[in-house]
Amino acid sequence: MPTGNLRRGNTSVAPTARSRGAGPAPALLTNLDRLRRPGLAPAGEASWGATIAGLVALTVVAVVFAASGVPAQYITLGVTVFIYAILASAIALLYHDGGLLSVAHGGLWGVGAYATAVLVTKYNWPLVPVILAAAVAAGIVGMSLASISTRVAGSYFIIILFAVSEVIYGVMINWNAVTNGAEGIVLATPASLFGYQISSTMQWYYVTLITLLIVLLLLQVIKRSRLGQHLRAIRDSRPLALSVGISVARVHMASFAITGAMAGIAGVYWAYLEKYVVPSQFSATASISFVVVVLLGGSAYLLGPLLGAVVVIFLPSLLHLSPLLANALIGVIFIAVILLFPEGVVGLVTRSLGFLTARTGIGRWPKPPGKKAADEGLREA
Amino acid sequence: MKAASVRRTLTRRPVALFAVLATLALAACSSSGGSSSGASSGGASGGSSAGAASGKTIEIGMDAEQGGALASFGLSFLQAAKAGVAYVNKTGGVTINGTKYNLALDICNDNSDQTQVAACATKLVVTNQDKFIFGGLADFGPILRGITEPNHAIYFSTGSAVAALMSSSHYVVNTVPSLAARSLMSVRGFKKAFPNAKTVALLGEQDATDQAAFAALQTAFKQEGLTVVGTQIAPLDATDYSSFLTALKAKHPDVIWNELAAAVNSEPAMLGQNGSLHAATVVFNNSGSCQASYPHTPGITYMAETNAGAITAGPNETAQTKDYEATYYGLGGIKNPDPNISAGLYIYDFFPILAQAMEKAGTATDATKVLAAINSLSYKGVDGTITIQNNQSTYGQVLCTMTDGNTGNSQFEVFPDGTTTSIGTSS
Amino acid sequence: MNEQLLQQGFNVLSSASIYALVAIGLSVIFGLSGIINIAYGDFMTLGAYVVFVVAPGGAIAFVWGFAASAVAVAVLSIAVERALFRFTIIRPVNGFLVSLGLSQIIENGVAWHFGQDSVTVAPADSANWTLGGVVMSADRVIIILGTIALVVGLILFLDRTQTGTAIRAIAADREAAALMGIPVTRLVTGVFALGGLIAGLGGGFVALLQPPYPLLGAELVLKGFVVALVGGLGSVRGAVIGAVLLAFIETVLVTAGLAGWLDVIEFGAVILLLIIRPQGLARGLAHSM
Repeated sequence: MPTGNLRRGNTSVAPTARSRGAGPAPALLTNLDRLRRPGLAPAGEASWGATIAGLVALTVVAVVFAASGVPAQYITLGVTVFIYAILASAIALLYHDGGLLSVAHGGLWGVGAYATAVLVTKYNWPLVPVILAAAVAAGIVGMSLASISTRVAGSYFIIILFAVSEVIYGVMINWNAVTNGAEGIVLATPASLFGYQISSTMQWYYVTLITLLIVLLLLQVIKRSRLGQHLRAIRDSRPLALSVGISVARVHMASFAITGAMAGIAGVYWAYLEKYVVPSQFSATASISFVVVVLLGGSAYLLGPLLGAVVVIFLPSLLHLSPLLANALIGVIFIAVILLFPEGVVGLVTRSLGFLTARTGIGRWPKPPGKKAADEGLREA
Repeated sequence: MKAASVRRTLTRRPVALFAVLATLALAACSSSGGSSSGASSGGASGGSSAGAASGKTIEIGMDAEQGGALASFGLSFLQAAKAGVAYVNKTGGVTINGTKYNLALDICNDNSDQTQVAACATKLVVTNQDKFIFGGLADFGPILRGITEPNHAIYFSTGSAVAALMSSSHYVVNTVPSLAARSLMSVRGFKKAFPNAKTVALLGEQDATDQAAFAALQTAFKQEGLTVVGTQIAPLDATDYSSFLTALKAKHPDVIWNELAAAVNSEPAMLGQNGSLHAATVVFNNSGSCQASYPHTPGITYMAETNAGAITAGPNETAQTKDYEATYYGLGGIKNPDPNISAGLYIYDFFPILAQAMEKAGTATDATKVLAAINSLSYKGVDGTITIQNNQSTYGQVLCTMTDGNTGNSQFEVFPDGTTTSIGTSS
Repeated sequence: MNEQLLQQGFNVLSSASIYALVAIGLSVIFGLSGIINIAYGDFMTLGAYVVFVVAPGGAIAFVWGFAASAVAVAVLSIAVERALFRFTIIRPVNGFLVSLGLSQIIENGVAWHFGQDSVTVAPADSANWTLGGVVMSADRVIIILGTIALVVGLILFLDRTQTGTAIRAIAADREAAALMGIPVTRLVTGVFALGGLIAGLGGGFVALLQPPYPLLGAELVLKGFVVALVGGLGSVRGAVIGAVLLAFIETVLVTAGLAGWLDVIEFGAVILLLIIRPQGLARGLAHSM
């Protein structure tokens, strides 16, 4: 969780030079950013207007979908999509803004799910305390991953995180006293939210949708905050960031803690959806599917991970290929995305639509930097 | 380090994009309605989806692993279910209140994918209103149960993960004898075949079946006077069992009791490695079968609990079993011979059992009445005489031995009451 | 008790051989291109299946099986490098991601074509020799000797030959090597081919130990990476040492009855080691291959 120290000044929508604190260092970073990406808002930040529009659109579509009378199993898949989207969006922040590809967040997801299973079956906790506990547990485990990210980078980091996910899995399957080992834990009771029982899939649909909206909003806030700036600075040049006094350890710990907590919350809903947690659900394979979801959709975009989740989860139900061929096909599409459309499906569509609107002159044009832009810092005028 | 790349701002365009995609998704959903079940192999598959007992068919839900990691067992299971349905329809169907119904299988493919299992269960139970559910291997059973229980659908389960939940379930029928009963029968049969064996070493995997089985087996061994001298539990990704076998060999067991067969690929590996190490010259497998296709070694006697209670080889093979095999392969869509054909024996008999129960209860929709009827029946099927009490089924167990790769040497049937019958030998 | 120790020692050697082969292939490819090729394990799976196709009956035909698998996987590696990995050298993370997709394609393709059950490959030599109470199956002796020969050959190649030196130069500094006239692109392709050859042979060896099935390599590759990391990515000697160490630790844990905790302990130890000493035990491609 971010401490007060990391958020100097306010994080209002249009930070002025004043609110970001005096001192040349932040401005220096800003100018460097400008040099690298002339003419555009750095770091792919959306404007608040676009973000709100995107979230509203998501809400509308989701509500229409639920109310349109689709068969019940599609609501179940919808809940799964939201759960995956929460987790994938968190991973996307780490990857896109932090340059850290985490293959251990599937394990953090499992930590949240197991925390839920144990607290509900042994102590009958209601929903909100369970969510908090799962977020804290997964956040703490996540935070410890920062000790790895501060010491190794790039490929080493990825391999070590694979090892971490194996360790988490190993603890789940061996710690029989708590996790019941390979037999898993069954959740029989419905969740209770301030005395109200949540048991139907449709109710979970709305609970997870609301959580997803909050998470997406929170991620956008983080992107624009000091934490986000520092994270990107570290991503771009660790030595330079260190030289201006950014603490890599603190920033990474906060980022892992927050994204870990989000993974844990996704785990809570997963436990309630499946009503059964077992180690095999949280292996390194699960982590890899989340990476695929993030990259397929596009890690730079607000709704990219969500779209990736929609594709990965709904496609098997709609395709009529042999399932093995369908999986192989997803592998082919994934490679194509990585090599040809690295910004994901959303990026691809956005670019092609942008091409259209550019021709017709509709839509926003990037503005060259001017004095006003420099004063306003990272935000486009 | 990330190369600097030009990034676009997110504008209102993705809003339009999302709307387009959502519309497409909705269109696809509504057009495929309730029958999108992926690739299903031929034979009797889901007919009308309009509820349990409409027209002249009664829909039986089947959550099948037609793809993914569990497909090899899943497809065999599905084939056995199809054979069970075909058998019931062939022998007169189900007559309730004077109306004759046929059974039909309502298949949903979960692709061995955890995200699809809950969706399949929801589709079968909630959308299609199926009152009777089969399928859901391994870790998927409890997920199915989580949806069948609150919706009062009867789940015919074969897995040990659900078996462990019997006491808290009202609508689950365990089609496999209880773990305690099976362990006792296996140990007794084993003693009959090898009266001189005194010590046993256990080798298993880190999965739910073995975790539960080890406890039950230790109790059974103790009860029958055998000593367990060592246990080893291999991680699921183990491929080389020689270190496990060597460690067990040091304890000098007469027999290695192998629980590994959960993964088809690990059992032959273990057998081959034991062949060279001779950790014990007798290997008893609690969930495999005597198959000529397995690699075997001279000097190793291999014995297995096999085929549930069914005699599927030799001169004592019953007409019913022959009929099962004929129907199984006759439906097509599965390779012949199928090494996993015996997996389906745990559910095949339960289709006629369900049919008889529905007739006796006079209803195909009242789960409580049907359950009561199931618990009152005694059925003589491929698995021998089956009785069900407290939703837990009981029947005998057939064991086979194999020496030097020679199957059909001697078969026993062990009955729940402790008696055994030698089924006889065949060359 | 002594007998058990010796027998376990032999078991360690044969496990270590397989781990070493995986680790060396991964290590060498990474050392040169910076790419984590998670599909390497699936290359081994393919090698095992080639042996199944060419020599399912085992015995002397196995020699053809080995040759065929080494060549086939080497050719595949060249194709994959040219078509895919070449474009990710500037950004190796993409290479890792591409390998994720490749892995999915291979695993599902193999399962679709050969079925998801394991296929049977008869042993090359089903003899068992007993020496001092230690049972040594002929197949495992073949694996151990074959691996030793391969490792020695590789080290000699990299240390003593001109091509080997050129490869080490590329690993040290690609631009400088190119400036010195070393044909970088060709050699990188060559190293991928070499990795493929090792994978094919390794897959053939694994087929001697257990029936091939689609996920065979996937389970080995993570351990291979861990060994390669511990040994120092890019170091052949380090990979061998790491492999022996891993096999040793595993066998000790099994004998102590802690087999379930294998993964936690070995991966946990590796994480700790790499936090303390990120470069691993040996010093990397350029220094001590």
